[in-house]
Amino acid sequence: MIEVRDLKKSFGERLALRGISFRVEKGEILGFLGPNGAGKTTTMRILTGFMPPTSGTALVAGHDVVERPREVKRKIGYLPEHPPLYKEMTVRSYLGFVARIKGVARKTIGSAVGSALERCGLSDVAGRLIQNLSKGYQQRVGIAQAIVHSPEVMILDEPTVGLDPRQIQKIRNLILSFRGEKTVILSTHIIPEVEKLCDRVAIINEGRIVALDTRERLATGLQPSERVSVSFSSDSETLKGRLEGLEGVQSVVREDGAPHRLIVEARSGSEISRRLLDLSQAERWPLLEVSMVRPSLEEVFLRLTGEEKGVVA
Amino acid sequence: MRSVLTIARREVATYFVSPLAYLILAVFSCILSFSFVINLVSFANEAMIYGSNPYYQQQLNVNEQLVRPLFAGFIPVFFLILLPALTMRLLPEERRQGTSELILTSPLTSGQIVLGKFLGVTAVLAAMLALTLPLIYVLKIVTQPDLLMIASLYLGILLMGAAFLAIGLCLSAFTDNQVLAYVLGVGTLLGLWFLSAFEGPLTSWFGEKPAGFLRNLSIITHFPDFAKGVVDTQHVVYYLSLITFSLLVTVRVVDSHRWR
Repeated sequence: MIEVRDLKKSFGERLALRGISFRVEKGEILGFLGPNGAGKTTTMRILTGFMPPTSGTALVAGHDVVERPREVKRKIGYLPEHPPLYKEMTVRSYLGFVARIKGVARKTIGSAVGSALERCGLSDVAGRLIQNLSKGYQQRVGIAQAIVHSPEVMILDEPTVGLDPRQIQKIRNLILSFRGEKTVILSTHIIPEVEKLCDRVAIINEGRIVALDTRERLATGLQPSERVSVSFSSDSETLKGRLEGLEGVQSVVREDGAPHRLIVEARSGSEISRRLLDLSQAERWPLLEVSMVRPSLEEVFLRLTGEEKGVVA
Repeated sequence: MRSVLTIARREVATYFVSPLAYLILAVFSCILSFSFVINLVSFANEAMIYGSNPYYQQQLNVNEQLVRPLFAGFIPVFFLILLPALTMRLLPEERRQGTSELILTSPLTSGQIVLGKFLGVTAVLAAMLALTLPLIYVLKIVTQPDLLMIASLYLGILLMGAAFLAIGLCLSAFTDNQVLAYVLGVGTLLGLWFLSAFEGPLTSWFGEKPAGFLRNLSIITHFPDFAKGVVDTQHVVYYLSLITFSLLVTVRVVDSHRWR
């Protein structure tokens, strides 16, 4: 549905994109994750035809964004970082205006506006001026304007920025309702958002895609070691030495504040959890729990974007 | 064309939710109506005093002494000061509130956007002129105005006003600052106006031809003929070309923003 090949963009001397390539299949939700200024917004603006790339190609629904911008624009719904609202208009008249300039046929404008209102939970405020709505509602109007012409592709630039947790929840549910039906690209620098919403994640840093995969594969693929958490019903001190002796084990650490729990880190591929279970059965250890510790996407993100551990991006 | 009208309609609606348009319309019609009443009363007095004298009676002419000085003298000055206030927000406002991202990612050409905005603001100008029609109606009741001359006058006012608006729209494309857009607008219109004032010295320095060329470029020299009831194609063509040129430049500037 979306295919981007070696996209580059420079603003004067500054290189904003240094060659970005990716594909998004129909019905998929792709998340752009990256620090501020990494090139997320620039990529989205090129896809929506707001600005042309310096070089490279981008195809949306089979049309080149530079050569056939009008076809592309008809198929895309775009929510920029700041929702593009005419605040002196009512919600209903604003959506009607957007439907008209997006080329919705005259007869279907009323129903298009009605279904966008309903879908975004705006029916109750349809007659109110946009400037009098709360930020959460304004954001929903922003999303409603992006779907009013039933586009196949939606591009959402930081759809939940600046909202309170309940509003964020509502917007996320709204985005999730597009899964399978529309192709969505959304950008964020909030990691849990990608984890909750996206089928695949592209981590962008300094104008490049540094990783692109499903969330799980990103996390495990980048893991240099396997980590297992083990809990015992009695004091674990005596067992610590035995575990350290196992083949492939690199370190055994007692977890802070949990005296019965140990974190075992072993070389990846050493199947540490299976061997640990075998051993504990044979030796009749008072074992309570064994679980894999997955690295969080946050760790992956911080490692790939080269920021110090412990600093929240 | 449908998209053009959509843009134009939204533009008109925006003017009439802000106090600015009402204020401009109110100031315009109040001052014009007030001067109209004063001039009408003094004309009536003159007519009463001199009406019995056959020589003077021939000199009395409501078109020459009331309509033309009032409309042709007052309106260009008024337009110079107030029309840039209407156009200053046209493009800067879109960029300020981020709606340019909506407009420029819609399947519209820059030409449709610019033309829509121009038609919208021209509709406000037309509303302004419509407010003066009751004055003509009053005149029609009390005397015999030359309606053809008045029609020509209105055509001239509309063309000149539209040219002012096109120039203002064009300048608003160059800046994100509305105050700057206003000052640029008034300054440019003043400059174009005063081109005719240099005619005298230029004739003595460079001769008749370049001076005449400069006079023909001036936005004001093409207006008085309309006020005399003469619709000369060269004046119509002048204003239409000025409008076309300004709009084409605006389209280029909007396009260049896309490529930045």
